[in-house]
Amino acid sequence: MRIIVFNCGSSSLKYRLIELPGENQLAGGEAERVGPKTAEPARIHHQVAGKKETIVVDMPDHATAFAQVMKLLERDPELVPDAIGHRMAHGGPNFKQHVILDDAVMAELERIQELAPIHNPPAVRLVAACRRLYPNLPETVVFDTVFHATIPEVARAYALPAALVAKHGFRKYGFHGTSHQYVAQEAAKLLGVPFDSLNAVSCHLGSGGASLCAIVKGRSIDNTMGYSPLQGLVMSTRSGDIDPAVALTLLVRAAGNGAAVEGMLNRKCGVLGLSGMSADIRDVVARAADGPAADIDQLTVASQVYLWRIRKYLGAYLTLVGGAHCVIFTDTIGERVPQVRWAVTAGLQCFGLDIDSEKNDAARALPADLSTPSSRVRILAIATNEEMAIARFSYDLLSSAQAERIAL
Amino acid sequence: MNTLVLIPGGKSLRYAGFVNSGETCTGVIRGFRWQGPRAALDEVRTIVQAMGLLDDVPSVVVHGLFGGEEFPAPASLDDDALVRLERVARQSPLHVAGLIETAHAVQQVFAGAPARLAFETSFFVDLPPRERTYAVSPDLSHKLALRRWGYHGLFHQAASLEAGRRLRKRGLDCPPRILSLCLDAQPEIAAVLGCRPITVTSGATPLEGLPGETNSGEIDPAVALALAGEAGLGPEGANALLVGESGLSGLVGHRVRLDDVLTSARSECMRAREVLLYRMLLASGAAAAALGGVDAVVFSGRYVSCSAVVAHDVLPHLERAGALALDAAQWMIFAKPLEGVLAEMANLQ
Repeated sequence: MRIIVFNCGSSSLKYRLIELPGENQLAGGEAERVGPKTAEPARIHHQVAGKKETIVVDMPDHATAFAQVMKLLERDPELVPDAIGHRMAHGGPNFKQHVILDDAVMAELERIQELAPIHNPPAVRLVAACRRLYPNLPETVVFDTVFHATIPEVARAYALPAALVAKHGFRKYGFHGTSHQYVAQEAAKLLGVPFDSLNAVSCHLGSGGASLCAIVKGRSIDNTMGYSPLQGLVMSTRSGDIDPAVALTLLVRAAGNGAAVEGMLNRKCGVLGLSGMSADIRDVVARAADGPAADIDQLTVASQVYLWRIRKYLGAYLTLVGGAHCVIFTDTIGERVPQVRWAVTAGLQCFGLDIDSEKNDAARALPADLSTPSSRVRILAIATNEEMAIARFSYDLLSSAQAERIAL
Repeated sequence: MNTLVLIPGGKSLRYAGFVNSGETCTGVIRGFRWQGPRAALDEVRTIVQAMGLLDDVPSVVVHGLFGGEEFPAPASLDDDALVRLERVARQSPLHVAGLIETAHAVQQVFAGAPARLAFETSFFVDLPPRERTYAVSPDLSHKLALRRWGYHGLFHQAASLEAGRRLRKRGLDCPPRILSLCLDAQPEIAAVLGCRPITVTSGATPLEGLPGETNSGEIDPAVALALAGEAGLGPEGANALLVGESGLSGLVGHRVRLDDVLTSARSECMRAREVLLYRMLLASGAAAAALGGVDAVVFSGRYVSCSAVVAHDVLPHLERAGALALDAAQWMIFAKPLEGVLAEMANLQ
């Protein structure tokens, strides 16, 4: 079965065509600058069997981008997909499993899209466009929140009046679940531990968003993100945890314009806000080490604040998990920045973490075990592959549905 | 020397008199704000005079919640201190305005007595930048004087000093790594290395951190904005709800005290207790990571009598994770009330 996986950003569309169950990647690419015209033209970077090409084409919306991608694939009959898998950031309170798309699912997706106003609406529009243009192609929807459906009530509750929570649905959801689950499954394979016995802390440190996940017996029991992706770690442009009274003070200063404050906390804070020069912690760490003297204090504080928050949450989750098999680092920063892995784990021998500095610095080919032989808890760097995870979930869903139909 | 301790609150004034370090009287003047600090202090004067506290000139200690960076240590209550308090009032207008009124009244009612101000935030003035800084632009932090604080510094400081003394007696010869848990109406957990705090659960205001009797503690900032916006409360309404109607009382459904929640067998308290203990577990783990391990665990605060409930729930997790350099059963209690801590502080000056 050939499954095309779509990962829809606000102005981009990443895709990967994967043949299951063999897990062969047949094609992939990214449509850039989808939406209103920008200084540079919209284009698709398309890759098949190592051959890359860039196609410049107008893509005023995600539906057009999708149609263009399908056109590229249909040039070769061997690349025509049998099914579509969509990534959806937020599944709301009701999607506790990944699903095959139908009318009821579509209606619920539309109803909950404002829970993640940046991520869900373009993805929902893409799902609708796929249905319209290829009505006979089965579609699945894989949610970032589903892995966290197992977070217990005590961990997902905010200490707010019950009536208010019932009315507005305020609770922790958690995000990056697809990635956390994927790398945890890979870690279990690597360590030879059955997934349903794995205890771990997974650190998804992206160049944009970031979260930690506490995993017990293969199930998520907590995640640093909350009702929205704003809570938790310091991220590239998100503040992470901040006193709610500060958020309300900012609201007063913005004359009650909540969208402006939310926009500021999501897009102008974090590493970018602290450093004033880059949203990428790699730039900040490098400039703090050898940049102009005038910038060093500010950049040092920026990197320390970023790292300190990760370290504290790591300690919190190691305590919660109690007897973790491993700590996993993944995504752009977690996979590629040894300074970050070192800074957040060094000196935590009390938690059973003993990182080997040489292995950490040398880790290029992943997965890699970065811990010393005596480390009680293994420290792993594992490349995430959300598209593969989505393809696997989609394949399982569609195969089960097919088996059920045959049985009937 | 005789000492009079004054703890002005939002609605009441607590006082305690000490003669030769022994507590001789303690009480509360209700309607403190309504009748004004001058009248309340006159009433206190009459009471303590009858107890013989004023036979010698007493030293007076006035408790303050927030002293900002202007007050890194207790200070004499004099004209200079009042000028500095006026500057601090811009950052925390509600708390400090009341304190300024009380300070003026103390100068009038107890004229000639040496008076001092002692602040909860002083212990946290030198919190490391990585802990005290929010991930917003330095410009914004500067404009709003935005940084993290602790609001039970007097308990944390006294309890960790006592824990450090006991550890040194047992032979520890390096700065002790102390997990300090203050069980109060707004509970707070701090990591103290030697004599210096390096993490604390509260934030720019006491609202952040652990859930308290009526305050929500940590929530997604997007929820705070949604309360003000979609829920229609506006910023002031949302703040009032988060500070006064949430936390343990919000979870239980009516006003409760922290000790009720921790010790009551009533089923309605169970969920609130689980939420509080869960947050304490996470905060303790975070503090342990900040310290690189824990040499001592010390409890303090108004509800210190409930320490065992927290210790039995939280410490085994730290022990299992390997973060405790002690037996989970060897936690300490610092039982002195706030009045006693303040009186001792006055006598040390």
